[in-house]
Amino acid sequence: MFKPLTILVLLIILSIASFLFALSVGSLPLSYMDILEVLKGGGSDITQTVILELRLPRAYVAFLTGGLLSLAGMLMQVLLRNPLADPYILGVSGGASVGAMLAISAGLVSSLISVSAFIGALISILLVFGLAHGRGSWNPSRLLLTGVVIAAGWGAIINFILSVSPDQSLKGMLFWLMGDLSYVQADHLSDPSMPVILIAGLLFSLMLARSLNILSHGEMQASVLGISLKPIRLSLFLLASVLTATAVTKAGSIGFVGLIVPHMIRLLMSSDHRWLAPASVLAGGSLLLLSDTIARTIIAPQQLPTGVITAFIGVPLFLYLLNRGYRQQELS
Amino acid sequence: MSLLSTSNLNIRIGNTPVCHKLNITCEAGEVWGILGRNGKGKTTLLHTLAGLRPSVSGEILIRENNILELSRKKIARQLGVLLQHHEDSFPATVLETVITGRHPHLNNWQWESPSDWECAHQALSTVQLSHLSERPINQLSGGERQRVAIATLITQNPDIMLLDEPNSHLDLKYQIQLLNQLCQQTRAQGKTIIMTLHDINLAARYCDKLILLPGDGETLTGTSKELLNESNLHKLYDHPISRIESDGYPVFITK
Repeated sequence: MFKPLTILVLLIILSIASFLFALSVGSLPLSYMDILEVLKGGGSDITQTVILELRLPRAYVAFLTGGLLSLAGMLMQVLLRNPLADPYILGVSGGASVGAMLAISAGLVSSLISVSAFIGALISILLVFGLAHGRGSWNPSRLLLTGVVIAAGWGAIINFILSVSPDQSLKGMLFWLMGDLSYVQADHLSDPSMPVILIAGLLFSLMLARSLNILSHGEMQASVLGISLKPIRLSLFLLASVLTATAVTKAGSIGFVGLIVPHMIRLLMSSDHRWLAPASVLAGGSLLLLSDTIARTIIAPQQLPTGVITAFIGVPLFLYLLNRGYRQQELS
Repeated sequence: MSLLSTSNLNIRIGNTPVCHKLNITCEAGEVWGILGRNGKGKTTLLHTLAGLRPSVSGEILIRENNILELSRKKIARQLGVLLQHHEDSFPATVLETVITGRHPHLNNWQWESPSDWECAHQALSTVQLSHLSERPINQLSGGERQRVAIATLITQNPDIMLLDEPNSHLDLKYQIQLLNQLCQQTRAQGKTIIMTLHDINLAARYCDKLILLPGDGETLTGTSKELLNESNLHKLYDHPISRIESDGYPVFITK
């Protein structure tokens, strides 16, 4: 365990470094001086285009998506009190995927694919909420089972659409399902929805952070210590769902980040959600940004789906931290 | 003014009555015990008194205020519960767990002040766990975990303490030390304790008053001296029990 503040500062430095790395590598390698020049408003036309219209928008969306997913994963894990929970466990991404795939098979442009995905996510959220709430009690296991079954239902619909789709739309669909940032455009930079939702979500999580710490000790104990269960369950569910829906509609269902990043931070620094929430956002953002940079450069000019690389980097990193944690426990 | 009282409280588990028209008044400085067999509703009664589950009818008053009209936070500033089961989904340290007791006394954005941490450290030293304050909670033994829960309750510092089997998992030494400490403080500072117990001798030693739950919905309430006799206990536990004297104290043993 390290001091939380030290880790947080290191994560801020890592985030900035990830951005610099993402802006500098690609088919046209750029030096940090070039990047600085462009950010100050100068530079040649070609470097301006490469940075401001190609690399920066994509890096920006990648970082925000990673932050959204990690925060959503952390909230889902507390809501369901289940370490295996991830942002997609309750079917939000399934609904979004069905929406996106219907839009892709109808041949719609990418902005309409996002709209369609968001509508799919919303339908899924409302469906799970309505069914799990039903009449009366709303406990974590009922919510979890409802969500998992709805997600399975979406899975069946996705497979159905995949099997009846013509070959030319299949690749687009598969990339979307694995998580893909290749269609990000310059106008994403001026779209405030992602940063606003991420920052609002982070602030709201920080406001609830002490309650989340207590909720990890069970709902009964939370109630004893003065937390009203109904409002906090509802806000966690809605908040995590909205964060997930925002990420999924912009970047497809990128797996793994939302599940693993909160656990990595718990192993590294603290389970106190006042540290865990901001650290997860920074670590998730950096992990996804680095993964995406590698995904678009490693076998260039061909691009890989981002979701493939997140797991390639994340799996060994997580296993290392987990083993290190256990070794420390055995020594102490 | 009584700290906690009930009027005509009626509780059921499904169709089984736990208590019917229960009237108790817990005054400052009193220690109450709830005795009964397994599954007769000791924990249910305790949870109902804490407002954690609804009653069928009747009222529960905390300092003359109906518990239904108080927010969970307002309740938590005055009433704390030692639960029987402890859940730890994610790794937290002992100290991080104990400090959660300050939650009801803090606002949404507030961080714990040095005096809050002082409370937590004090509580840990009361339960003799200061040396484990940085230990992850899931590495503790059952008895140590129980002492962490007691320390959390002490940190919460409520005037009304509801204890569900406070001595479970505890060594004899800690059973006596911790009950001594809690009951002394309760009497000295004008607080009140209501606890469920399995051990009649601990009830005789610590409780001023008792609620006996034979399980048919009828309850017996009164002072320990009046209620702890062989015939009541035989009926309560469905097993003959004899009372002997040792050092001037009553001792109850099974026949």
